[in-house]
Amino acid sequence: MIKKIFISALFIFLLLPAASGQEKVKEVVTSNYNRNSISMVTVLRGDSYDSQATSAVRYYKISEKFDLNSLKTRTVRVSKTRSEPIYQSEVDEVVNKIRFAPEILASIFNRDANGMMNDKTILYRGNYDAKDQDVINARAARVGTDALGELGHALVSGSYIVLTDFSKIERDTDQKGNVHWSTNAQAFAYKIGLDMDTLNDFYEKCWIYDDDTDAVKQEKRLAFQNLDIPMIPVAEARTSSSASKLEDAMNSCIGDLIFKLESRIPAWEVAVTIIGKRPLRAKIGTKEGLRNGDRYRAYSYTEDSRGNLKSVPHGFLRATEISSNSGMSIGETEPSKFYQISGLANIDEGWTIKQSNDLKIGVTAGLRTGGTGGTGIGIDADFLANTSNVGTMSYFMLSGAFDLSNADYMPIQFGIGFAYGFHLTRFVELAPYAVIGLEHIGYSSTDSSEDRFMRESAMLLEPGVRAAINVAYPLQVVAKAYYDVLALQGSTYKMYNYYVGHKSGLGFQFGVKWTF
Amino acid sequence: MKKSLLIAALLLACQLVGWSQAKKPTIMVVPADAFCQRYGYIQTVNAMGETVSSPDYSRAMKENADIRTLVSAMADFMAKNDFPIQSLEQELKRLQTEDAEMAMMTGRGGGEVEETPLERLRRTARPDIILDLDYEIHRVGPQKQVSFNLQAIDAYSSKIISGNTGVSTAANVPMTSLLEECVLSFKDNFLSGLQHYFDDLFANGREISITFLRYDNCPFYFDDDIEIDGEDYEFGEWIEEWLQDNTVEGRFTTAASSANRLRFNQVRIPLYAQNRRGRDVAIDADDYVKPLVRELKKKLNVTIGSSPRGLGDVWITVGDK
Amino acid sequence: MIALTLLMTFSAVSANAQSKDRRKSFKSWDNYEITTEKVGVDGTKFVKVWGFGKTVDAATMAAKENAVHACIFRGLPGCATAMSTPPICPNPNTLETHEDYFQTFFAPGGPYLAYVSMTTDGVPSGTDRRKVKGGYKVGIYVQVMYDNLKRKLEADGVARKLSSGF
Repeated sequence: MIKKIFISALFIFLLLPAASGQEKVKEVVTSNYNRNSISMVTVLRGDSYDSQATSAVRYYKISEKFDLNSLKTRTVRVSKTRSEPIYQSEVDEVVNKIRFAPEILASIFNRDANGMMNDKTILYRGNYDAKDQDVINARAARVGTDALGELGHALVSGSYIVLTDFSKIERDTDQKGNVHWSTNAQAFAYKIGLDMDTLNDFYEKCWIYDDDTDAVKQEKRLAFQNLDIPMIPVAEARTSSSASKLEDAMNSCIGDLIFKLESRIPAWEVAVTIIGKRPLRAKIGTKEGLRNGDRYRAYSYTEDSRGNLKSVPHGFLRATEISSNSGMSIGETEPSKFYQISGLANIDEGWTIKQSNDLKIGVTAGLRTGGTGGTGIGIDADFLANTSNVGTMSYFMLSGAFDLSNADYMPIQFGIGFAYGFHLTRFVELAPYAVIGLEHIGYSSTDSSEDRFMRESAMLLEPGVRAAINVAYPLQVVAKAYYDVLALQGSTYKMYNYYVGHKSGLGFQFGVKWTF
Repeated sequence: MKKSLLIAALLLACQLVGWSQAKKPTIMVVPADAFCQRYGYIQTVNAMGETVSSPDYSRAMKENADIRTLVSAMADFMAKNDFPIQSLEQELKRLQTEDAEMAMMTGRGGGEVEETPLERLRRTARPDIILDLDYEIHRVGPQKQVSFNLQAIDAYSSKIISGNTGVSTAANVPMTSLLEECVLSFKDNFLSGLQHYFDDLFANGREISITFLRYDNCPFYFDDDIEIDGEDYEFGEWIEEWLQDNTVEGRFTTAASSANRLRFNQVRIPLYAQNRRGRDVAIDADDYVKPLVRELKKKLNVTIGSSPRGLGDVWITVGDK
Repeated sequence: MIALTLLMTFSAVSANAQSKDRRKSFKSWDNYEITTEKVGVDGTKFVKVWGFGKTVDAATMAAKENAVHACIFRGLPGCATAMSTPPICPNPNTLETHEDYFQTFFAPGGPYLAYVSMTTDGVPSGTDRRKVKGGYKVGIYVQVMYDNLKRKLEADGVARKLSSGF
């Protein structure tokens, strides 16, 4: 019996990746990206946190890559205590009760109390979304650039609502009286269930013309009230955060939720093509919410003899110089610049690049020897702060090490630092760095004085060089050479160190790094 | 060998000279009946006690700016192809004056033209090729879209030379943009249709119509037996025989045959004929019937007149001019 | 001297072979896709056309040639808002009758280039740039100066004028 289960489990295990692999083959990544519009909605639970949740959501500054639809309904109510999370089915129920789709249309078409609508927003958005190619195409066509705004009609189908809910809000006070707030958060994204046919149907049935008779106008108003356009759930995200203020924790949650939704809703991922090399350039920028260090993945295309198109993924690249393109295109948009960080093939002109968000956090783990002494493990985390056109990268570092050869005394090192990486090629990064921190030897002492920790520690300065070589991005092999300087040793530290024997000296670390 | 080549070259040259002499058909854009009906450009005429409604082109051209945009856009590309479009507006003005004169007109011998009001109406603004233009503006929410239907019709054979239907982009842009887009959309297809028609014309001859009308002064009715060359013929029968002898491969159709009126259409006439001095010249319907008129005058001893209605239609009046 | 003669003979043979190749490809020149994008500005056709070549640049040039070829011999298909366009030379024998003329017309850097202008922003990119067996297949947006092209062919006696014969 167990054998049978084992075999079928193995079979399923082997089959699953094959099946999903097949699906991936059919999926073609394209450079088609159009601006989406969103409306943020707060889920209320009927308690005292409702107002804070509402204001955190309302005043959250959404990325410039989205247009905002201002809806009448900005909050929905789910009757459940805040200590429990809410489920998709519960949110679905609430969303289906409220007529979000007509509200979105009313917002986009500036519908007034008499049911009259106009296309000002549509035309503005169409013009704003137009890429250089659209502008050039429009110039070649008879209807010309006057009709560029008409691209806005297709953008209506890219309208989303994001419902944000906060649960398990907790307030902690530590011994010193410092307050800490923590909260869990969930976001549910829905897309308007509308295509061009539905939109044309909407125009036909609900669009009131000045010369319509009163009876027709009334009929169209009624048709608008009876519009049946669904909201389709597309993605969900969860996160949690804590801060000294609840609103800060909430804000951080919303940012994280949007970040996660971005990677789960393909239409939200910016895609564009490379227009030039040395440095790599693409026509996106602030309009698309592009920031320094943002990660993109490159794709080229192949076609087989049967005419099947396939997108072939290549290396990753990071944005370096961001162009300010927040305006209407006139066909000469200034491109942003990028630096390729991985991939065997050189990214070429004409290839598609698509947003591939990462946290820009690299975690390195390895074995170290030398330094203050002994053999141990070292764990570093670095946050990529800046990337330049020539591939220099600035990192903020958190560094930690544990001396295994003196485990009884538990000598640990931790510190903060800064690294500045140079790329010799895209595969090899050489980064001089400096860490300042403490080395602590925390033997089981009964000392309970306030400055105990400092007396058990010594200041540690660690200048060094880190070399990282791509193996299979985001996995890298890392080697570090550094010189540990121990200074300002605390009295207890000195005593313990007599047995441990740590001193200033040259050290090496070898390990691997993974970028999240 | 050299001699034959020379002859061939000369023949070719002659042919080219001959071709360059062919008369260009006149082309006019006319709003379609459906369009006039839709926009209320209709006039009613009392014909033999019956009220007949017909398109009021004059008002359509005056009151509708869009149709003027379309006509001028079409005139522009036709002029570039060496076929200037006749102005409907100007033609209408000319016809108004002519109508006034016609109302007073009586035949030279005192007889009146036996023309029904409907026939008179059909004479209004009739060029060789009519571009029958219909369009409609649709509203799709905030967008406008123009659907068009343009037919090029050989005015005399009433055959459709080229048909073009389609829609413009749907957009909230000035109407002129959409209308001009329509014209540019059908332009080349339309020109190709015309080219096809002209090719057929040169290959199979021109298609014309001939109408015989009887004046009161005429001593016989068209279905009467009369003596020609010592033999008894019905007038119509004799004409048919003449046409059999003088059309390209004897092609024509008798469309109407009554006591007062005879009409022949799809009469395929050669593009060129020899004039009295034996030279090849391009001919139109009026030129084509001249020998027939001369022969009839000689044989029947009645007054016979011929009046062309464009290049492809001719009316022969028997009994008066 | 012998070597020179051999070289000359060889180059003459290879040139002849090339010309034959070109002639052969000229006759089977029909395998490309073209679509009308929109109604172009007066006198032009606004199309998207595909071309094949060993490199992207070669494929782009091929696409331009194809666009002009389509206007002359194949005609352009219509789209939702633009009617189809008939070929300038509808007679199927035109290419054979005027083969030398078109060999020169479509020669690399030949006169055809004056009647086509690429409106693709930059290089062919995204899904319009595909690696295929033996090279690249690219799709580009072009404007063909259809009216000018037609007038040129009419003036050169390859196409008939609408008013010829009158």
